[in-house]
Amino acid sequence: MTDQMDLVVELVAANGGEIVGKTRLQKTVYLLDACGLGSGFEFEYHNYGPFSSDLAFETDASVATGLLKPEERRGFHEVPYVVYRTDAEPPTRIGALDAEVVLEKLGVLKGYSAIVLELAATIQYFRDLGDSDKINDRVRQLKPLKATPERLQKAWDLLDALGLKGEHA
Amino acid sequence: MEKDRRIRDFVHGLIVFRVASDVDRIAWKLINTREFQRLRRIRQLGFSEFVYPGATHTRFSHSIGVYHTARLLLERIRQIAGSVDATRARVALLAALLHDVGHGPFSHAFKKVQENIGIHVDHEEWSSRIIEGDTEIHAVLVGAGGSGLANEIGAVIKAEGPRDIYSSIVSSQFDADRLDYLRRDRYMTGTGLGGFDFDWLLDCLVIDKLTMGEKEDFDDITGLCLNHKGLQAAEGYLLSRFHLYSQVYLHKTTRAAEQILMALLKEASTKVRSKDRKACPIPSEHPIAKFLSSSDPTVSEYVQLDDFSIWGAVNFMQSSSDPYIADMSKRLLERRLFKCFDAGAVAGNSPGTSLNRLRRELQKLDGTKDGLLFGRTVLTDKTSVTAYGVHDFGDRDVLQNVLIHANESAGPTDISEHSDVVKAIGEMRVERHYVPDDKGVAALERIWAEVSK
Repeated sequence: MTDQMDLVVELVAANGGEIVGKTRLQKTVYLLDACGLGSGFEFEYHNYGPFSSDLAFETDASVATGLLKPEERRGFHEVPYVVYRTDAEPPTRIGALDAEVVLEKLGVLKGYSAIVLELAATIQYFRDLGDSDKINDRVRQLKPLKATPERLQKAWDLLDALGLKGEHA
Repeated sequence: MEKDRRIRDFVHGLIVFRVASDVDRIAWKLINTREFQRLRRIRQLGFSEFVYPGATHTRFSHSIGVYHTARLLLERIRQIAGSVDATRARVALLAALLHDVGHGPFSHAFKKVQENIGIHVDHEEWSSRIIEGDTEIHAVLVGAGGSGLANEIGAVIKAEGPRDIYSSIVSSQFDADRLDYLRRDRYMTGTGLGGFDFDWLLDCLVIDKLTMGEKEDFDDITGLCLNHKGLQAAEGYLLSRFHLYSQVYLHKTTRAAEQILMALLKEASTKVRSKDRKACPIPSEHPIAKFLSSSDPTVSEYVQLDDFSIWGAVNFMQSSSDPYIADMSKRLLERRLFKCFDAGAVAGNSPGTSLNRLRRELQKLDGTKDGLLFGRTVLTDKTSVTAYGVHDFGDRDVLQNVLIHANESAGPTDISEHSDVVKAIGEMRVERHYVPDDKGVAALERIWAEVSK
């Protein structure tokens, strides 16, 4: 097992033993990194926001070794998605953060939909690039359907609730 | 345009731009702009020609094929819906024509090069900058419909998914882009794989109201699905995609050349930026030198980039004082590519700890053993292939999957519910490590034997 595999399993454990969906897992790690998790995963803009192929590979490896158990579910129009589960207990420290801090952040993230996480991660991605100009306009252009005014507001609320202070659009 | 204009196309036969059609007249003017003509100098499949010598077709012929296919899709929508909104149809057709106008040379590789030098602009964004910027394309569009038309076309191209049935022509599972390139690339590579029943597929398209998202947070949208008679055509379509992705687009030799170009331009950019002219002997006014030294390149700098400028730069770089730059340049010019250790194939394309351990070991290579240095003489290519595309790692939503009606009364549901063939295609993880020669491959085989014990 590698450190990064450990990290993925620990996050799932800390999230009450399951994370629903690859998108939620990806955006969760990206946003926690912004909070100081220090996962070491490299993200690029792909698949509707910041995305790490290394994270996808490590997650697969965790599944292959039985550390994570995937469960296939079907959503609207029977489109499949995956839920990752583990029985492992969360450790006292995850990445560079105390587990308590991670638990608190994960608790915040749980209160928002995957679409809002995608919007928040995309906003944060632009901020991480040092590119804060007209962020809301840019997110709306990329995601005209998803980026409703209500959801964009929630995405900014989420970033605030995570303690990710920064320039608002 | 004073008369009908005709283009012979090897996929579609005769493509006619009618003088009586307002949209065709604008399209013809757009084709004759300098930015669109640049696409003649960008090969559709980049280095695939190293493997399939016939695959020298360009983004120019593809873009015209996409316009033609978009007209067929629009006609199908008119048949189903009874009529179409002329304004939105015009935007969709012109967006289809212009969707690739922002493509750089050697698309996948050059995108990585841009990221390496801190330019996070994808080809869709470049397309919209060209369409909305100070360009001949922009002037044609302003003349035809004001700046509003240019902005609307730019917005359709930039959006990550369709907003309505018209933008589905430009971006969806059945968009004109895919429906053209799969047929064109198959024909030009000469592969016998990858055929599908285009006419039947088109005739089975239906318009449906779809719901996208989670139970707690969702959107309603109109999208293209298939009626119950389209199952076999859809299976063929998805299988064709999987085969072309795995056998053509991700061919290990093609990807070796891409890896070399990426490593070469990454190194060249540091030399250009430090003004080390001996190590990077590209003239400073050369488009590649200007682009690599810029932190925020302009549209006019970007549209000077094409396959020819890349090859010209590589030609200059073979006389570099830096042995790595000189060697990598000559390797491209002489097609003397790195050799592949296909770790994914050795591991049975299944993820596991051995692959992770191998990666960790390779990252430790510092040049002291067998001359292997991670990131320079060990180049890693990792991706994923499904029937829906490459680098396919995320959740798929209703617009990203093919939905089909099981029978005349059933609603649209995911094709994997109805097709064992599609279910069986699954996902293939690709993990390859490239090294300069067979000796390097043997070294990697030894490391693999250790980590997979």
